[in-house]
Parts: sequence; structure tokens; C-alpha cells
Amino acid sequence: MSLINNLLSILEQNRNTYISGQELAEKLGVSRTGIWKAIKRLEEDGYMITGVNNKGYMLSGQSDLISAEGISIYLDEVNKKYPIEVFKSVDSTNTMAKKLSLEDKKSELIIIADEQTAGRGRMGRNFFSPPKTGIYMSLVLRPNRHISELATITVKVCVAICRVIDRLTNLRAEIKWVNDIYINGKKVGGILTEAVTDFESGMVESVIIGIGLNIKTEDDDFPSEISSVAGSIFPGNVTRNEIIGEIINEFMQIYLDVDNDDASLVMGEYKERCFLLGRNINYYISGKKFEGEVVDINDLGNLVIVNVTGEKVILNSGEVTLSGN
Amino acid sequence: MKLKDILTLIDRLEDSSISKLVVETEEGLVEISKESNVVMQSAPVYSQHVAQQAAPVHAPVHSGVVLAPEEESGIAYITSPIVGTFYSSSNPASEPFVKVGSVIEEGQVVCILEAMKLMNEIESELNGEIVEILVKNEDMVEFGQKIFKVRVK
Repeated sequence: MSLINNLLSILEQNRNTYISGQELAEKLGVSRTGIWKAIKRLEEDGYMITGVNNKGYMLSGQSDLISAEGISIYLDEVNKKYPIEVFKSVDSTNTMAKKLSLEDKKSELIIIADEQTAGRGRMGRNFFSPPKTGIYMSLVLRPNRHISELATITVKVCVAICRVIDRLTNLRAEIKWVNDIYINGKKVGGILTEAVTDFESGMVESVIIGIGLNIKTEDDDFPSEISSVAGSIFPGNVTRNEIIGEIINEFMQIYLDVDNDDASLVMGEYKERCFLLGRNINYYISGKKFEGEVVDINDLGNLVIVNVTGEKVILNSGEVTLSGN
Repeated sequence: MKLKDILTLIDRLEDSSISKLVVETEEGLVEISKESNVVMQSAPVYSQHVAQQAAPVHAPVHSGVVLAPEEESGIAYITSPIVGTFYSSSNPASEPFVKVGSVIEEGQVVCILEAMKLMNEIESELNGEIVEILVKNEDMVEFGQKIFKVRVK
């Protein structure tokens, strides 16, 4: 790691605390002038660092730039093995993740961007991803499992994100089946999971889990076409680094639970948080629109609907909307 | 398991609403499946199989996923490894991955199948030419359903 990375790592570990230039210089094996120059570089990148005579340097608790060093502080030991690459701006973290995953067909990695210029939702829909206010992250995993065993991976990601939001804020996160995260009736994020699967064996070669979350996007900043339905989490003084670290920890714990000890617990929680239960919805099969009431979510996370003619229908894919909306 | 027992199971399966049955005994594994004509009324069969087992199962022998050469020589089908929604392109504005007449190569993405918002890019294991596409964009497909008819090269 470079001097800048090492310096940032120390400052992140000591947020809101002054460290003297002398101490930093000794730890990093450079002159105090070298430290001063590196601090300037970080400030130019946007880090909020206070320098005070006789006290030293301090990274402000308000500073909210995403960095691998900052995330690493929050990661469980077992999750520190995943390389994390943070970009200022990419077209889409899933697209970037896919590109990088093809370069090294064995690696598992995490891609994060401060801004997406072409954030993607399902089937090429746009996901509004302005800088400095959101989390746009893609995890590349190589599960080496059959596709049927990954059927509930989006469910697991949803539950992990909701748990973290609840824990770090005073809010209650909800889920709109399948993959949207809601707070107080507004969508604050979504998940786009893409897998490459060998059709003959049904084995998944790689899976890319894309997560987009609005953390502190002001209502006025959303494009007008989504401003009435989109919201933000506003987690107070919690940094994006902490939220990212905690999401990785929470998800990995659920995902790596190979014995499926907690599978029914996770599904139960998914169901509990899913606000479509008991509601009337529109659903679409092969382009045709139907209406029904959501009566259950089964053990596979599938939506159980009783349609207007009294038939029971089980959905595991496609789009649903609250009817009347 | 005796042949008689297997035949009984086949009869029972014929009359039941389930479309696949896997029985494991000390002697081995028997897997019986039938073409389901019930679309989207039942949970995915492979998943029931998973759900009923405490331990994660390894991929069973998917009769529906292997190539299905017909009497007509050189013809094979690409079938769906899951229950889900078929998408012919990565988004509605872009060109389909393949069309009738497209020449496909091993490893080439031929479609996306979605289940529980997991968008699966399906890669061809075949080199050949698409002769027919047997489903429409956004159609629900069943496990093992034929999607592409391919003239293998």
C-alpha cells in the first residue's frame, strides 16, 4: 500500500481524534513534511481533515468519502480477504464488476462507486445514482453451486440490508417483493443480481450482486418522474463506509451459512418485512395483466396469490404492482 | 427397488399434480419426471426437492437439461434449467441475444432467465445455428422446457 493509503487507514481508525504529525511520521517512516504533503492530497480528494498546531491531524466524523481503508475497519476478519475497489465514477458497478470478473475468472471481489452514470435496474431500467449521497456496490461471488440453490440469494441480500438499516438507524426497513427496499413507503434502494449459468450443468459460474441505496439524497435531487416514490435513508452520523462494511458482514454470514441453519429464519424475516402481504396487486404473466390478493410468501420466497377467479397462483418471477397505483 | 415398484410410482405420478419424483434408496437413485402441462400453478419442482431436504442437495441428474437429440439428426434443444421468465435481450431497447438463423458458439449468451430477481445469463454449450425459438419474450418457462431448437455444427 502507498503512503496515502496507509495514512488514510490510520486516520480512519482514529476518526475524531488528533494524531500528531510526529507520530504519523514515525509510524509511516517518512518525514513530517511527507505527512503534510500526503494530508494535502487527501484534502484535495475531499477528505475533511483538521490540522491544529501542537495537536496534529484529525479526520472529521462528518467526512463521508467511501474508501477501502474506511470500510475495512468495520469488516469481520473473515471478510477482509475480498479485494475492494472503490471508483469515483463508473457507468454501472455491475457492468464494471462483470468486466473485472472476466479478467480474472477465479476472483471474488467487491466493486463500489461514489457515482454511477448509467446505474441499471432490472431489464435495463435506469437507477438514479448521484455522487456523494449513495451506495452503489457489486459483489462478485463464485458460489460453485447449482442454480436452484441460489434461488433465494436476492431474498438473503434484502434481509441483510434491512437488518443493517434497522441496526444503524431508528428506522424499520421493509421489502417490496422481490428486491426493493422501502422506508416509510418510499423506495430507498434495490438489488440487481446477475448470474452466468451453464445451461447444461445448471452450475453457476459467477454471480454479481448489485446493490443501490439512497443514503442521503435530498427529495429535491431526485428526478421528477421518481420524486414521489423515491426516498433516502438519512442515517444521521453513520458513514457510508460503516453501512457498506456492515452489509458485507451481514450478507456473508447469511450466504456462507452452508448448512442452512438460518434459512427459515431469514425467509421468515423476509416475509415479515414484505409489505405486499394481504394487499391487492397486479401481476403479469407473459405480458398479460392479472389481479389478485397476496396471501402468502412460501419457503422459496415465491409470492402466493389468490386471483380474482379464486385460483391460487404462485409467482417466482416477473413484476408486480400494488393495484390502484 | 423392483421394476414393479417403479412402474407403480410412474402410475401414481401420472395421476398426481407433481411432475417429478426422486427416490433415494441404498441401491441408488430413481428419478421420474413428466412433462408438466400446468403452467405457473405450482411451485418449481426442483425447488420442492431442495426444500424437502435438510442438507443442501447436489445438482440432481437433470434429464431436462441435457441435450435432446431428435430423430432428425444434428438437431438439439437448449432447455431451461429453472422455472422463471424468459428474456430474449438484456433490456427491451436492445437487440435480442439471438434470432432464428443466428450462428451460436459455445459460451455465448443466448437469453436471460429470471427467477426471484436473479437474472441468469444462459450460456450455450453448443456450436450451431438457431433453427427455431420456441418461446416468446417475457414468457414464463418451466423447468426443462425447450427454448431454442439448434442445428448442431
